[in-house]
Amino acid sequence: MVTSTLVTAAAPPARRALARDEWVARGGLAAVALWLVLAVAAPLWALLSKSFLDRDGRFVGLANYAEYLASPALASSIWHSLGIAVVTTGVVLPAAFLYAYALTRTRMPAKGFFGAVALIPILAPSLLQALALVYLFGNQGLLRELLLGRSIYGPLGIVIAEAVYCFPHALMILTTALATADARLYESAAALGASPRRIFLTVTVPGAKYGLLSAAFVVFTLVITDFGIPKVIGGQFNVLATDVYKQVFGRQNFETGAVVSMILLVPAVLSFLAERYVHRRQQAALTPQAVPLQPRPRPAVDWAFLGLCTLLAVPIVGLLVVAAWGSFVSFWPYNLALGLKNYDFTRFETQGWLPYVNSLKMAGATALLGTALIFAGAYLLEKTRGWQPVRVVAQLLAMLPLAVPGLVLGISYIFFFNHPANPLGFLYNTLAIMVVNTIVHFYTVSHLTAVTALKQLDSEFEAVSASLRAPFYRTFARVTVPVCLPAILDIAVYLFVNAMTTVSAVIFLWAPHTRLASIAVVYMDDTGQQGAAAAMAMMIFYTSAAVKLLHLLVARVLDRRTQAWRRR
Amino acid sequence: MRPPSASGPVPAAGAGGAYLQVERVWKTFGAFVALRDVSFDVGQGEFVCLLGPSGCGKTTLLRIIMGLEVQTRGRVLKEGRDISARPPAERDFGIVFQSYALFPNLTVFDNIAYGLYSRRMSRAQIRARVEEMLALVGLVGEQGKYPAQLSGGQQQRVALARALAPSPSLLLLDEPLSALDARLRVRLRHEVRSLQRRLGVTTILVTHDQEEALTMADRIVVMNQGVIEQIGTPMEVYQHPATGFVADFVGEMNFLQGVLVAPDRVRVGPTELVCAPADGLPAGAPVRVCFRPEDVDVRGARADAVNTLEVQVVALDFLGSFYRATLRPAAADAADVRADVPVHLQREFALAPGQALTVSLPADRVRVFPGT
Repeated sequence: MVTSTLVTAAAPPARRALARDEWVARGGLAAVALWLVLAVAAPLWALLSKSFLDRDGRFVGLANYAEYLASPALASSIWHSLGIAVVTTGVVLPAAFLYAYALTRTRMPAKGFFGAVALIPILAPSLLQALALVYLFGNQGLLRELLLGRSIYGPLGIVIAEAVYCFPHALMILTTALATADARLYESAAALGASPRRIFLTVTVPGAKYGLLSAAFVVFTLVITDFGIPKVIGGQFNVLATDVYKQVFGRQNFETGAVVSMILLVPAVLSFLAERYVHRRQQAALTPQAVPLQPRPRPAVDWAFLGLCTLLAVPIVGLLVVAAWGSFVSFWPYNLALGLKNYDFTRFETQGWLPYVNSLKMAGATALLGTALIFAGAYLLEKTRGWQPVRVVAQLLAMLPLAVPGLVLGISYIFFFNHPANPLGFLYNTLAIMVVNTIVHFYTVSHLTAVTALKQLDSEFEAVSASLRAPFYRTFARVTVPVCLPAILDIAVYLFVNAMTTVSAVIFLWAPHTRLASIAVVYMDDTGQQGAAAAMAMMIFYTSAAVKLLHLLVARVLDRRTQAWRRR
Repeated sequence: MRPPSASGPVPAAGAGGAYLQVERVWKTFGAFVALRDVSFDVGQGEFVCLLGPSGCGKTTLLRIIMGLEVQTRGRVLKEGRDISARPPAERDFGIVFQSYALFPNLTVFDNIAYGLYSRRMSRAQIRARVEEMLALVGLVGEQGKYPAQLSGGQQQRVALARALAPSPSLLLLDEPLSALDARLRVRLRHEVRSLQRRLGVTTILVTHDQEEALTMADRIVVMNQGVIEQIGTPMEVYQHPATGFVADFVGEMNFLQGVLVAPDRVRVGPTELVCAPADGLPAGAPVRVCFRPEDVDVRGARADAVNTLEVQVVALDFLGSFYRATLRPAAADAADVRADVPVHLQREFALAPGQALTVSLPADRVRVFPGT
């Protein structure tokens, strides 16, 4: 036995030649890894190193950080940001939980309507809520007296606008958490004689515990990294996100901008890690034997929740209606005659409709290229084999963007692509860099959607194809893509809508000829052209809403045409 | 080599005549050794089962033969040529997975035709071949359906037809029947086996189900913890298990602790039994003595009986076609023994719990393995 082991050990290890399609897969994998290194890792590295350098590029250690933290005005924005984020989370979480409960656990009428209404804020830039609040409660607001002398400009306005803006994000997580209930737990609790209140507190809430935590982290991160709302309605109230902007644009102080970005990265990364942890725990808590819960009619409860949801839907719909109204009003609040004058953008700036056209181009390219890249990348990472270290690094880089706030990503792109030694510098000041940036900004969620869809496919498709002498890309085109089409559509629409509405990353990357609609909103609001700002924000909303409706239509047709093989 | 006989395919005729040879294959994942110096041959047209408990390395071995995994060391040869370096597509092997991995968005026709498009066949040729395969597996008229519209057994046949359509030189089956219910499984065993006989395609089937291996295989390769325990025909593996593991894994078996007193005599407690000669074990060695429940003869001590044992019936379980009796030897410290009693013998003897009995064990059915 000993000799035979020695003989075998002396023989050369076996190796297998790669088939042609396996070389293609390796090439694709290398391209995906290279893309992630250039578009994610390198810019963030540029940002990190910048925060340790002085203006002349000398290494100064933590001096920039010390300087920033020592200035009381700047350090106060840390507390402002934290305070706003905590209060908003405290407001949004209970509201979204009750709303989600109504949608999943009651027989409340008009569930579809309330479910759709709650998603409105996702279809518009966060600026829209802030603009509408200014219309209502600003210096010339219609309802200004209701504030009893307090100003909407500052923490109050920020919290209200953020709460509306974050509501759908929290709601989606909580709806998912509450939808996956195990009816057997409720039956056992009822059989043991527990009161409805006790069941709610001992079964419902603990069951949604991870959803609640996850939603809290998401809202917290969204608020602390949001730029649009504090810019429009923050007044003199400094937060971290507006600080970055001021340091970089107002003072051309890139080093301090880098420092604030790094600080902004801390809560985002922490809540990202916490979210991942919670996510893993939640998956483990679900068993495949669970019996789905069917809510029973409880008239008193159902009507109470209808009232509550109506109450919660009022600010969401109200702010949209006010913004829409404002966009049609000739001169707020002095001449309330309706007209389309605000939509004649040539009156307000020389570029006229160009920003909107740019936005369409940018969002279209992001949706098309981004979906192709992200889905193909996820496929190569999940379904091909070999080159394990490259795979692990690429997977890590695909997860990283979720932890990076848009502002931070935008700044890091300046540092990386505007560096004189970078051969990719030609991208700077083009629409292309905004497309790249936006794809990266929303990479992780899209990637996870793709991975989830791919994991539902039989893991042996590729092996079967190889045995049938079909190259993997033929199976990818004939089987994988058709089967995953609903997920691919989801990704494309998600990317399009976010590219239309995003402000935070691209605000650092536009040039006059590449200005986007969402950025035009910020600047028109800055120069006092509120009507035009509202009109442009509404244009974004109309476009996103139209695309979303089209998506629903296509998804329905697709579902009908493929039901022969999707269902028995 | 023997000429092909009417009774069945030619068994492997040594290294020279083997169609597929697995030669000293090792597979390690980090520190874990999944396969340890595994070698076996498969003859042309032969049906070989890789049998073992889950985690024994049998599926890894199948994937190495297919080229989906690469062995750490060793070679795989097809007709004497080393194919270790060839990718799966160049090996000309067909495979059916436990999940079938049917393409859900393609019809039965397109699933079966999938591997034919790679072979430069005309549309008419493809159509003809698919229809031939549909007839072969008994699915004529179902070609327009999608996999989700078929029963489990039909899906299994589509997977088989898809793998066989390009006329592979070797068919690999990875637990192809384990997703089906028990009754269908038994029927499909015969279907798959008769299909394989008709086509004469060399086949390797991986299974953890010893009954499946016994009924289907020409030869069985029994594996455990990455090592081959025994290679033999179903009869050899069942009647002459080479190791304690095989004796335990294949079929029912009684195990008793004993000590070897002579090459063909073993002492269990106070009783001495005559057993099949044990090779290479010294006298005085601790051994495991084993015999099958159906070899326990309850007809009492007759003239020609050897190895008689005084026992008491402790329990009697009715299992349909036979009774399983639990017997306690009269000797104080011996372990209980199970015996299978055919229904007609039970009618004759009317055994009942508490009853004292003399049983005998045929000497050639008592085997010993090194004890712990």
